Amino acid sequence: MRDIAWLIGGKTGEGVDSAGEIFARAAARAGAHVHTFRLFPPIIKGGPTSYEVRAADAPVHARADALDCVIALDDETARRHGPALRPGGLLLIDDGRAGPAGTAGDGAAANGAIACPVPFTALARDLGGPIMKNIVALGVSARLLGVDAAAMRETVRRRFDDKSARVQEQNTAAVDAGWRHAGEHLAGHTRAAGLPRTRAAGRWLLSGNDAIALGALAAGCRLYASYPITPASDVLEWMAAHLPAVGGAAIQTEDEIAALGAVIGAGYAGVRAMTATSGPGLSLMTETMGLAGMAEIPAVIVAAQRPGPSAGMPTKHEQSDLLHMVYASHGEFPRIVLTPGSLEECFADTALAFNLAERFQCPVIVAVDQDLVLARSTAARLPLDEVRIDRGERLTDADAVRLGETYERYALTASGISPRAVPGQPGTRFLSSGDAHDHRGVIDVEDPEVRRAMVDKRLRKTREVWRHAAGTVVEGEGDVLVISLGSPCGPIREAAARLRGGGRPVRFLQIRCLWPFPAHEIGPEVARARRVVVVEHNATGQVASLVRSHVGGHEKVTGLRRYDGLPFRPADIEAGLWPPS
Amino acid sequence: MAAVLTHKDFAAERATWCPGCGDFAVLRALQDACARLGLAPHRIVLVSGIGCSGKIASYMGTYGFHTHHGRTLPVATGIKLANRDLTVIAAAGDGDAYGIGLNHLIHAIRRDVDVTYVIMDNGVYGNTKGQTSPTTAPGVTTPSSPLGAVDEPVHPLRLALAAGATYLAQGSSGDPAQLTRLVEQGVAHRGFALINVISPCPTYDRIRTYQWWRERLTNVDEDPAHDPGDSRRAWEIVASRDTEVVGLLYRAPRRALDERLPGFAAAPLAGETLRPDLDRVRRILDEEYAV
Repeated sequence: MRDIAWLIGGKTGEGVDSAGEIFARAAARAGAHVHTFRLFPPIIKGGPTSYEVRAADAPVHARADALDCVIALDDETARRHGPALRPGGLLLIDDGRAGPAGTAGDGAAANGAIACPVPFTALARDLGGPIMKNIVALGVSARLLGVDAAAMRETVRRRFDDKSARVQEQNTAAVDAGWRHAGEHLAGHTRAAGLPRTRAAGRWLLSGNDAIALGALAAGCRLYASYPITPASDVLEWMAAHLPAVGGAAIQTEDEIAALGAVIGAGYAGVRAMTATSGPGLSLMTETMGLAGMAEIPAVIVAAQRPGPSAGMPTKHEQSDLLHMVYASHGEFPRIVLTPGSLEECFADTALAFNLAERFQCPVIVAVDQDLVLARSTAARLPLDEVRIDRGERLTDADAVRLGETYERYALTASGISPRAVPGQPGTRFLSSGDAHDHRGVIDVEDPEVRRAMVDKRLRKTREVWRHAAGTVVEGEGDVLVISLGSPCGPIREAAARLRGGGRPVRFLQIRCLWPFPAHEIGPEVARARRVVVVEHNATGQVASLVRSHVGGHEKVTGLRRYDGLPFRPADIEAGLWPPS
Repeated sequence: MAAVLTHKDFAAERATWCPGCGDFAVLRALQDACARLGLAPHRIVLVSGIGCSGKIASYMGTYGFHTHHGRTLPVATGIKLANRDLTVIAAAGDGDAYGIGLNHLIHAIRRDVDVTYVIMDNGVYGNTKGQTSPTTAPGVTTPSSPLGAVDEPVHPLRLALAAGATYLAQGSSGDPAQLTRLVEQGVAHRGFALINVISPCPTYDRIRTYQWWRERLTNVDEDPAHDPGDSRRAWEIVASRDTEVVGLLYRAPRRALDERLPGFAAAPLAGETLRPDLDRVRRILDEEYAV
């Protein structure tokens, strides 16, 4: 695989994100597979921010080990990201800003990278606005990295589609000014090999959040309720924009308790509904999750993790809420926790979550993480037509009338699953309750026999889950077994490919469903491995603890953990699996 | 022609409240109001919370959802949006409504979701044996305030009016006929209807008895000069009388949440086919995501 990694950094409010998105889109339009990574602070204006775009001639699902080009709109960017440049890489520092020239490029130079001052701001000012320095930088980048000028101009113009013709002209002129400047002053730094690309048409560039929202829409979600929180707010915004087109609604509730409450109300009334949140919101939802468990109401919860506890690092990455999802809420009840590891899996698993929630009448959590939901990547068009809808065991109105007063909402069946009726159906009036109840729904908080029968009934529901959901995906051969889930799967696959190429075989087991824990699939894999490395973004080894407690193998289960707020790079995994001896 | 409905058509289990509990009259008022409105029992959902009041969902012969503490309104909102043809009634205690779930009340009011909210306000936490509630009067001794309650109570009527309630009434278990009328009007109101009900607790509140309230309550429904459409007048009443008033205090027409949501389906979502118009969706997606 050939790839290049480009990064633009500056202060929030300077158009860093816009430039990053445009570069990603222009590279994708030119035929590159693209993966992006944003590093941003919870400061709306003036904080340090960066946008990395990795373009390759094969699918990429990880940030780069080293950078080829850094656009530093300020010295801090040069200091932070310059050292990540590979030897021969380019550090282009804006020299049109106020303040003395300093030592910002030293870190890059120490690595053998080349630091060049470029008058991004000055060129933009000449065109009528220093704010366009980001667009000038795109013109420079296009020329140096081999992105077609016309493609870059067109991508920029489209970005300002909703602006006046004058703004569009100014910005395309900014692309041209950057392009010319690079030709006149930086010609020696042009990458001769050009942009890595393939011939492909019809790709999409989208984020995990986009894929989640699309999966929900395709699965028939009609009501969405949530409270804004990073990194899940995109889903709320998407739903607010698109659910009205299918007659549904997105409501922004007063808190996450109300969000899940509304989802449960809708689920009880027979409508597919969802909420998305992050750690703090999930904490607020825990009591309500228990209501869905006890009253056997379908509910889909997307939980996008960020570093905790408490407010933690709102704009950074972690996977430290996994055990919370598995155990959240008091008492015992079945729940399902799905763990997609790619855009395509975000789409498929969110759609699947609705089927599982209705079939097993319980909360289903789609466990994702900041990097997975925020990173934009290229993907084949998502297969909307292939989404299968399974509403589980439901009563028709004719059934409801026939059964009438004999209907038992919580009937004690062999599977534990009791056919559902919904309010509005004639004949089957029943009570759903967070209080303990019997098979008819009548509250019973006394009888020990009823208690035991109802607990067993609820808990046996998810025994059948493996007929409907994959527990794991396993690939490669080797006596080193890597176990992981979520966004690390991208860098793990890349690292494993390199290791295999270097004669170091690795077997990779991706957990697709964390709960119920697929011990029946993981157990044999752990048994045949010589060494097991559980890769996860937390300090305490949450997935490793589940592996140990459900399948054993204590002596050989080790961990590779990162919990500094940043996602793994492939090289981290490579070095972690096979430390240089 | 359909048979005329009575309260018996809305009966379920026998209630287990203490003898003399005000909640009996609330249950009967709900049943009578639904019968008078001619609503089919299977077209109604009663959502309740926790405590003595929460038990009402077991006693009402409609669809019922006995939820957790304080969260009747979020659940009721989800039900109403899922099936806008259903009549959704939430019944809660003063702890649910004005303590643990107060946040939801203010937002349900401003959202104006078409739910009738009946609060069985007895000024005490009865089901946990008599501790203070958000509407306990200062100075009252209870197991959790052995030296007398120190906090100013929540003033439900002032609060609801300030939050922008479009239907605000207070009834009393001591006057079931009026209470039934208030519930009936509240259910008919297209939007959020708040009916606070003075529902005395004969077990844990020996002071604010039926008789105590009867001596203090002013009935605005009997005042020919009272105009429920006059918000200034409503403010004057709750400012001067606080909770010592019954009747329909204020009513204003406004479009309910399900009527204001852009693009919201006219038919209940619960009856919709789930498969969206994929061609339409694809057009949107190609615009947003194609490179």
